[in-house]
Amino acid sequence: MTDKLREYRADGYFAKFDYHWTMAIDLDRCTGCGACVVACQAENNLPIVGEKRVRQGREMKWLRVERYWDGDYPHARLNFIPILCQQCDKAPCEIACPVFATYHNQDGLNAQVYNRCIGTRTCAVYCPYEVRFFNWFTYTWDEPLEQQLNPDVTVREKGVMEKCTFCVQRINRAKDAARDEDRRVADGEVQPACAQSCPTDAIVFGDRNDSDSAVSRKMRDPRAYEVLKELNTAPSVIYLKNAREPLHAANGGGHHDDGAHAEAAEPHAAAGEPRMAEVESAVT
Amino acid sequence: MVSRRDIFKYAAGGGVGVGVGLLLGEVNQRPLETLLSTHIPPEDFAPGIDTWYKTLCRMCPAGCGISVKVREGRAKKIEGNAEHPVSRGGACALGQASLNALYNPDRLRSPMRADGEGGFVPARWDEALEELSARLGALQAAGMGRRVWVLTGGALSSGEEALSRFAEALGANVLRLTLDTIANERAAAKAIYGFEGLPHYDIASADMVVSFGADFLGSWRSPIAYAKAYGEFRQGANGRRGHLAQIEPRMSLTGANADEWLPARPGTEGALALALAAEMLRRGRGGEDVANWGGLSEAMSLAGAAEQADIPLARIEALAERLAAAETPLALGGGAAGAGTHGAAALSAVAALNRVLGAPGNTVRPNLGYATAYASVPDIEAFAAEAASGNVSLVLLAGVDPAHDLPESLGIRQALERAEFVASLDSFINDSASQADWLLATDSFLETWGDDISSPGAGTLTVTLQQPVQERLFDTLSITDIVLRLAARLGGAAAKALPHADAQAFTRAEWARVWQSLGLNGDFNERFRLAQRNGVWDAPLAEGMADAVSPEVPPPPAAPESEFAGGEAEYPFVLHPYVTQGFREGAGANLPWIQELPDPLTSVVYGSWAEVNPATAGQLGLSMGDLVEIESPAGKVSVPVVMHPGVRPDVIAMPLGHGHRANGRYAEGRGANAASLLAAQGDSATGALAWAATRVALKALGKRGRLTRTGGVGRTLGRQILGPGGKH
Repeated sequence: MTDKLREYRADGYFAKFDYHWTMAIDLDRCTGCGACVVACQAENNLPIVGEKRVRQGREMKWLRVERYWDGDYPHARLNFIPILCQQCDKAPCEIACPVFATYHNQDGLNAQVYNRCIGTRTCAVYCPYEVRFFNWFTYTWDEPLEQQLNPDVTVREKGVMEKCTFCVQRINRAKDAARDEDRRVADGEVQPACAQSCPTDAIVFGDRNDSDSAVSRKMRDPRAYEVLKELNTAPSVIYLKNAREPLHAANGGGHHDDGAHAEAAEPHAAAGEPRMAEVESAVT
Repeated sequence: MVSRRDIFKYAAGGGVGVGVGLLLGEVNQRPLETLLSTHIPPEDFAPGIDTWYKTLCRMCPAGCGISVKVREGRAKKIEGNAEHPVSRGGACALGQASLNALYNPDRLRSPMRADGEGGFVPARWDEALEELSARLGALQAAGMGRRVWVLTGGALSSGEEALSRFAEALGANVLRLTLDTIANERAAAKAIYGFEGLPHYDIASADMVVSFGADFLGSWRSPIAYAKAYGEFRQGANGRRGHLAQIEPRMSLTGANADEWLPARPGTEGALALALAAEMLRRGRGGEDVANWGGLSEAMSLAGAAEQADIPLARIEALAERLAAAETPLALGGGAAGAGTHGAAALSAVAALNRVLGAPGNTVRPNLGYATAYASVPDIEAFAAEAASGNVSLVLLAGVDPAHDLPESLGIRQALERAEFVASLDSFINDSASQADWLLATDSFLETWGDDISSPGAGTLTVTLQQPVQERLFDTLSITDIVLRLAARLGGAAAKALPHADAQAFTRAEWARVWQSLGLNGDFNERFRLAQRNGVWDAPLAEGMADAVSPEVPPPPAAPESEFAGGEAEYPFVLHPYVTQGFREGAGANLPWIQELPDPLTSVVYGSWAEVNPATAGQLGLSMGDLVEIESPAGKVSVPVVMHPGVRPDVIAMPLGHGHRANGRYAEGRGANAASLLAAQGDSATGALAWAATRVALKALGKRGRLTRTGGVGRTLGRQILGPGGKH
């Protein structure tokens, strides 16, 4: 098994398959409005957990908008970044699952098999992006809200881990349609719910193996970067850095260091994130 | 458990109702109760196959076209209609969450009658319509039509048209209610640009936008259309990146995305805009059309305005420098900046800045729409006074909740209590409806016919068709259906004005009338079918509209600072109420997806809060989540505080739309209603509600409030989350 893991974690492994689904999020366009969050909730049958569960940290949002403040009044600035499963090609979660409920499929998707999951929650611990959500309860919908549920997506029950799938139901439907017509899925033919709803077209989705696709062009943008690149997870979500002038320049002086006003000075990376050496030793 | 019979009911209901309905034009009839119908399923009812219907979103007045996924006769997902010129495929959180209203567990499932003990009991439609038409008929016969009041939201829709004709036939009063400062913006457009209606702002073509309080990415006017334009403004095909400066006392969603955010003292936005206009004139920006504006540049100095607005002169000068160099600049004014006691003057000042910058005809264009005459504060006070003296016999609440959404100091709640008879036409028992005698349960907008003219459109006349995407879930009718049935029962002038069978017939008749008046002959059915397929009928503006900007206008009047209710000694802070995209003035509060969606700026869920500058909080010894009492001359509320680095130290900001007394399990008793703090004041020129002109005092209550926030540390702590390079 470890040989297989080594094989698919080698660089360029997914280039030989038909598709390598990738998302690009342009932070210069993203306004943090939250339309994508609701689109995801509607498409993927995410439960309404209620105020009590949110307070307990049991929120279920496959896609969330994180907010980071820079500077202080009157030179304060807020930055938004939508965070979802990064569909890592070298996913820390996959090597952790004792029952292979999470695995990598040939389209480069980090898939979760609900009926295989036994709920050890190890994958969520290994995930540096904190985008895996565990069903501590079997959530219900106040009747008749359940009539909204998307029949194309499984409703999960207690004891199962879940996360963003890149709207795999939409991908499969587009692939089926393309196969019937003996062609490839065209660029732009499949859009996850978040990308579809985005009012500023900040989210672009497509096939990285097609070098002319919109997402491939975005990946070549000089602003493109990967979140927590130092962890070597090879994410399939590429961010395009916000092109705003640095805060102190925009306000004509007044340098503000974002670390200086932090609520805790410890860099997050040192506080219990899995290190690359540990990840590698888990593979061997 | 779903019984076998229920399954067939679903099939016949969802399938026949929608499929055959749309084909044969009989959607408002009850489905055929026959088992045979599914032998040959309607075309939109193949199990496992999606059917998409184009229709209109009615969650806010923007008039976005949407596309609804329907499976097995039930609406499942709302997306933007890609062919719609306003939404262009985008959909906001609130629009998508309208499915929560359709399937809401607290939706009214039939008409209900007040039981006299504060509750309601289910009743039949014929009982409801009989009692209402008897009362209306008696008042009409006695020549007392003026004692009838119709309260509406004032959309540019055929539904509103039906209500207007009905009220006219009865001789009733109509109050069109809104918090939006449309009247002020129209007054400004007329004074400075010289045309009627609201301008269309072309943000995508601008290389610099200066926004005075207009939260165009969050809640102002047409957020999806403006967000689409903003995407192009930032990273457009033209290869240049637009620069956005936002001037507002509390950082809005738009302010959070701005390149520079300037926290001007509330009520000084007009003076600042005028000073910038004067500076542009001094720098030779103005054209011939403002040649007679010389006095302006002498009267207004940047230094004076900077001091008035409490912003360092260097920042204002840098802004002026950039603005003078911009090729296609655009100034926007709205939100609280237009809702002071001199809001119309402030928005005129912003328009004047546009005029000096040469924006009219380029980034500011004439547009159709918003012909609606909204009720001014004196109009609303007249209603309250009539009710107080016992002269209001009947009130029809047509899809509005003024007892919650508008300032309590206007006295609408008391007026509804004193009115002899109140009927609420709504899907929920909202704050206003809980005082009603009858609840006429209405359809979701996804279950019925109608239309709306997008205002502002996208530089065209954009009429969006609303059509049912599924069969009615419950025993409900649309507002138009109710009005038509009442008219038929009343006979006489009302029946003559509204002879149509139902909302569908009325909508079709309205479209036929409009097309005929525009000289568009030919096959109506063919054209209407096309509108059903596209969800929109879109026409270029009439010849000459583009030149509607008057060549020369007198210089703008001064923009006096807003006056605030409450003395500064007693009430040291200015209250900054604001509208959010999710909650609007209250429409989103009963939708669980919206309650559970973190607020974009503060990440609060389930409840409301007051935003305080961290320095102010420090002086008062407050920390995040402490409960405070906020008191204004009009009222007081208790809420937890949120420390917000984007609020002026002399301002307390509160979101509107929370704090419902009723409106179902998700809304009731959650948070506090900021509208209950607002003093009843009108604009000095137009009488439009000056909802941003109240001062408040803040008192710590010495205990913790209930504040639920998501997310963790709000700083990047040196991690390169926002990209390499550290600063952003």
